[in-house]
Order: sequence, then structure tokens, then C-alpha cells
Amino acid sequence: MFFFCLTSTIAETAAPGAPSPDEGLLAEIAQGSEEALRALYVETSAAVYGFALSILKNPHDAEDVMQETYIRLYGAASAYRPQGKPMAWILAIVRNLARMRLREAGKTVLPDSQEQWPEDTALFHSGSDDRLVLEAAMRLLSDEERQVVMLHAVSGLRHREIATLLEQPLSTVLSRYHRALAKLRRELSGLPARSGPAAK
Amino acid sequence: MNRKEENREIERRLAEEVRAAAPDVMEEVLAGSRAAGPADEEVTAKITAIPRRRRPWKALAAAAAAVALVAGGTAFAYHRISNGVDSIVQLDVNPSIEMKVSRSEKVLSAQALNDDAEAILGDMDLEGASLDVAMNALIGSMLRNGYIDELANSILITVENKDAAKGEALQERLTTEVEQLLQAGQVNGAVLGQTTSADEELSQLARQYGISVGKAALVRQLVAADSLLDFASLAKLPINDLNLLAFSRQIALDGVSSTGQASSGAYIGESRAKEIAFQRAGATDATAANLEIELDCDDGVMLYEVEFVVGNYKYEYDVDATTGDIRKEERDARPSQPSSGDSSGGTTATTPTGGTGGSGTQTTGGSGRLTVDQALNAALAHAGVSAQSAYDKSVEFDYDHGVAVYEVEFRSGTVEYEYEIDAATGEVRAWKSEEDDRPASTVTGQEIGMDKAKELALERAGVSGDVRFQKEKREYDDGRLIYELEFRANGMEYECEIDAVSGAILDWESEWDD
Repeated sequence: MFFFCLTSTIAETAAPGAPSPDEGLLAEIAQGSEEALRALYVETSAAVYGFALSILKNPHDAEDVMQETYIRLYGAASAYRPQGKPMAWILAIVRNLARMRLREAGKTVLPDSQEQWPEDTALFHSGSDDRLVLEAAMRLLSDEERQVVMLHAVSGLRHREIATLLEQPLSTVLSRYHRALAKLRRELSGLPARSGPAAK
Repeated sequence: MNRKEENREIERRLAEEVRAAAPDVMEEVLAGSRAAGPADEEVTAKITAIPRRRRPWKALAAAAAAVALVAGGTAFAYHRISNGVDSIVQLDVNPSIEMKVSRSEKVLSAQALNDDAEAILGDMDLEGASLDVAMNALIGSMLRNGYIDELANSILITVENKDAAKGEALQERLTTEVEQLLQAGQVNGAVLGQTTSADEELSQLARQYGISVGKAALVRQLVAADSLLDFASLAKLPINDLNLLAFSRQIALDGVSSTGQASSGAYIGESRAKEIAFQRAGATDATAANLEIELDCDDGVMLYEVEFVVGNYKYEYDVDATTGDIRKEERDARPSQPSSGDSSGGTTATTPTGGTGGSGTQTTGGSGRLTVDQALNAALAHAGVSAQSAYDKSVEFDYDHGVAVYEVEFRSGTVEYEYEIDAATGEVRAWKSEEDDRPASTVTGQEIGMDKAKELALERAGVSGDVRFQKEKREYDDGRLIYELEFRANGMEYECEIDAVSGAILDWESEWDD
């Protein structure tokens, strides 16, 4: 416990298992390598899907945007300028495509996230308590909160990078993040932890 | 679990579930990509236009043609907001047109804001037409007249309405319509959309530079986000170049919707620029490190700035984005102080700083160093020059006798300023300003070459033997081609500027190398 307290004071670290695709992959993709595209896809697709889902709140739309993202990426990889942040670049494409889709659908302002989020849980991976976390994130968080949490948790972006991507001040991102996690903690506290040895 | 631990657990579970829930679309992606073919530049443009469901576009072509046929010549009536004007719609490509629109979306007036717009409007009489028809006619005319094509495909749509939500809705609708019109015209467009509200500063900037308020708003944002850009040079550029700059310099445009990708087809492209610079430097992908390529604009000329490191030297090239000519080249001996991983860190000028300049929210760069912006602001403050009136700005990180410094250069009016700012404290270590009255002239005659220039410099210094050149730079300075050299010999440090054609020594400084 002591050890944990110490480490937790250290400034933000990227989430474990966060995707950090190699820039070289993009160069290979620019040359038309399908293998490189596959490798990039394997590493980044969850982050891409999660971010798209957090904006669009609809698994079908998120899937479409995910698909469009990689097709576009395949075509535009040659325009990528090496600067050590391929993930941010890819997520910017997702952001643009998702926003475009929202605008086209004429639903930039979604009335109420609860209504948008289908009850049909078959759409999600089932058989895991983790599903409850995703559902809670969809149901309880505002659009802005959800995007921040998704980018932090799934894409492994740092708050500063999230601020840049979402075009928001860092302070705003931080407060949304903390508010969102407080909501999720409250919601999930009554629920059993996921299967496996209890974390103690 | 403490709170942090709990957060981490929640995030881990969320990530796991998303990973499990993500559908596998790899095969569809591959199919889509194969259909599009390999990613050469031409095809890229096509891929980026993703087929989407579209609302069927009303058959406006006939109506638009009818509008175009109406003989014009009527003076544009000036309507004040109180006189039935609901929205003001501006269309910028390079032609810049402003329409005043009634509540029922009838065009009350259409005004050309520049010469290109005069050509577009011609004798079209848009008054009384519906806004949709007018947009159709204008975009059609721009396509026919070659203002929008595959080489320059960006359009800026700006809507002003007292009711912000209404303005935004109209802007979004027009953006979609324009995208569709371009699609119909076989052009993959890049459409920027924004709404503005009355702002005294914007109107004043628009008047001063003779551009639309919408374009002024866009340029103001670019300049605020990247302090090395200046309003006057950007105001001259068509929207496509501004769009390209924003993309290349990774400037997030606040409140501007952006679809499609600005076409860089008119330019040689980053990879070609790199090739040109590498060839000149004798560098290869294997030997060059820390490569950075960024689009820039210098006095209306679009450039690629190519920077990289080979061995102990840092190279910088400005490659003309249109012709591929090398306009500036520089080779610097790398300082021995920092570890090699860090030494290029300070020279990039892209640090975005959000908000308008000098907002006080800037933090220092890594390792306690000032940001490029802070260094620039320190120099501007010392010179008493406002950020708005400075142009040809450059900020470079360097070491001077082991002290980390920023070399800041800019101009204001006809005066040229050079500063050396302590990178840790912001203190002004050295500065000079000079009236820059050298006449602009084109370079005629044979270049003497860098080696000859070095020879002349050593001759002037009266030294020979063990001389280490810290800097070798070739650049155009007000139309004159010059070499700038820095070297150390016999305990002295020398700096000079030499005319690249006549060999005349234009500037000479020497000091004890302590």
C-alpha cells in the first residue's frame, strides 16, 4: 500500500497496454503494405472503435467510422509527418469522421444519451462483468466526459494529448475526467468486482 | 482499494470490454483499400472522399443556369441588419464573396470582395434568388473558372447570424451542400465552415487587409496558434494554402468544421522536398535523423522547411513548394552540451500555445527551458514591437558559449531585429536592429560558392589552419543571395555575411571566444 501511494504520486503514466504503434508502420502503409495495415489495425482498432463509440454512442455508426478510418488512413499514410504521435494522428481522423457523420445525420445535439444507447446488450461482448463498465460509461457520462475517459482508458492518451485532440483546455479535460470517474466509481461500487481473485 | 487504484481498475475493465466489443472490420478495410489501389497522391485524394449516404440534391442546375443568364449590372443594394438581413454568408476560395440573406433565405445582395470575385460574379444577378440557388451558381462558376480544382480544393464558408444556433445550423447545411456540389463537379473538396459574430477587431483586420471577415477570423486563429506565422503574409494566401498550413503545422482550428483534405497537388510534396534536401546534403534515410518537414509561407511563397541531423551537423532547408528550388540552406555544427536526443528539441517552432498571443498560460518547455513563444515575446517586448506588426519571424534554439539561447529574428516596418534570448531566464543577452533599406533585387550572375566564401572570410580574419565552422547558411535576404558564416579560430569567434555573387563582405563581427 505504501508502495502504491508513492508510485501514484508520480505524474501521469500511460495506461498499461496502451497502443503505441510504430511510426515505421505508417511509412510501410504509405508504400501500400497490407501487412503493415494489418499490424496497425491489430494494435489500434480497440482505441479507434472506443473513441468512435464515445462520440457516436451507437455501435453501428462506430463500426462504420472505424472502417472508414482505416480506409482513409491507408490512402493518407503518405501524408503523415513523423512526429512521434501516430496514435494522436489516427484519432484525429476518427474525430473528424465521427463529427462529420454526426453533422450529416443532423444530430449534433443528441437529446438524451440514455435514449440513444440501445438496451439490446447483445450488441456488446457478453459474459463479462466488464460490460457493466462500458454500459455505465455510455449511460451515465456526458458526451464530453465519455470521450475523455475513453481516450484515457482505451487509447492510452495522456490528458494533455486528449486536450489537444478534443480542442479543449487541459483544465477542462482534467475536471471532466475526474468527474466521470467519480460517477463510475459510485455506480460500480455496489457491483461485484470482475471474476478472478479479488483485488486486495 | 484507494481511489486511484479504483480508477485504474475501472479504466482497465473499460478498455478490456471495448477491446472485446470492437468488431473486426479488417477484411472490409482491405477490400476498400484494394479497390482504391495503392496510395499514390492522386488516388489518395479519391480515397479520402468516402462514399456516404447523401440527401438527393435538388435539381438546382437549371435554376442556377437561369440565374446566371439574368443580365446584371444593378448596383448592390446595401442592406443593414435592420432592413431584413438575417444572415451574412461569406464564401472564400480565393475569390471572396459576401451575401446578405433574408430570413426566408433570399439573397438580398451579393458583393465581390476582391478582383477574383468580380470575375466570378461577372454579370450574375443573384439578388432575389434563393440562397441555395446562389451557392450553386457561385460554386459552379468557380469550378468553371478554375478557382476550384484538384490542385486547390479548399473552400471556407462563414456564416454570421445574431442567433448563434441558427447561424451554425445554416453553416452546417451550406457546408454539406457545397460538398455535394463539388462532388457533382468531380472535385474532392475540402470545406471549412465557421460562424462568426460581430467583432470590432475582426472587422478592422478585414478592412485593413482587404479580405472577408471570415478569412480574417481564420487567419487570426492560425496566427494566434503559431506565433511564427504573421497575419500580413497569410492574408495573401488562398484558403487552400491556409488549410494546408493548418494541417502541416498541426494547428487545431477552434470552432471551424473541416471536411476533406486540402489538396497539395500543386506542390511538390513533403517526400520530394525531403529528397531534394537530402540530395543537396548528401544525406540518406540511413544517415539522417530527427527529420522534420513542415509547410511554411514566406512572403506569399509556400515552402517546405526540412530539418534533419547528420552526424555532428544539423541541416535546415527551405524548399520552394512549387518549384523545388532551395531558397535557404543552413548547416550548423551541433553543440556538444546536450545529449543527442534532445538537441533538436528547441528548434521546432510549432509549439501550439492556444488562445491569442501572450495569454500567460504558456508553460515552459521541457527541462526548464522557455518555449519558442516566450522567447519571441521577450524579444518583441524588448523591441517594443507588437506581435501583430512583426513578420518574417524565426526562432532557433542554439548554444552560445555553452549557454542555451534562442536566436530570434523578425522584422517590423523596414527594421530588421536580431535577438539572443537566454533560453532559461528569458534575459536579452544580445540584440541589434538595423534599417533594412537594401533594395529588393533578383540575383543575377554566378554564385561564388560556399567554399570560396569561406576562403574570403578566413582571408579577412587573417587566420588559417585549424578553423571550425559552426554555421554555414545560404539564404535569400531581400532578394539578395547571401552566405552567413560563423567560425572560431585563435580564441576568437567570427560571424559574417557575404554576398553570394560579388563576394563582398556585407557584415562582419568578431569577439573573444570565452
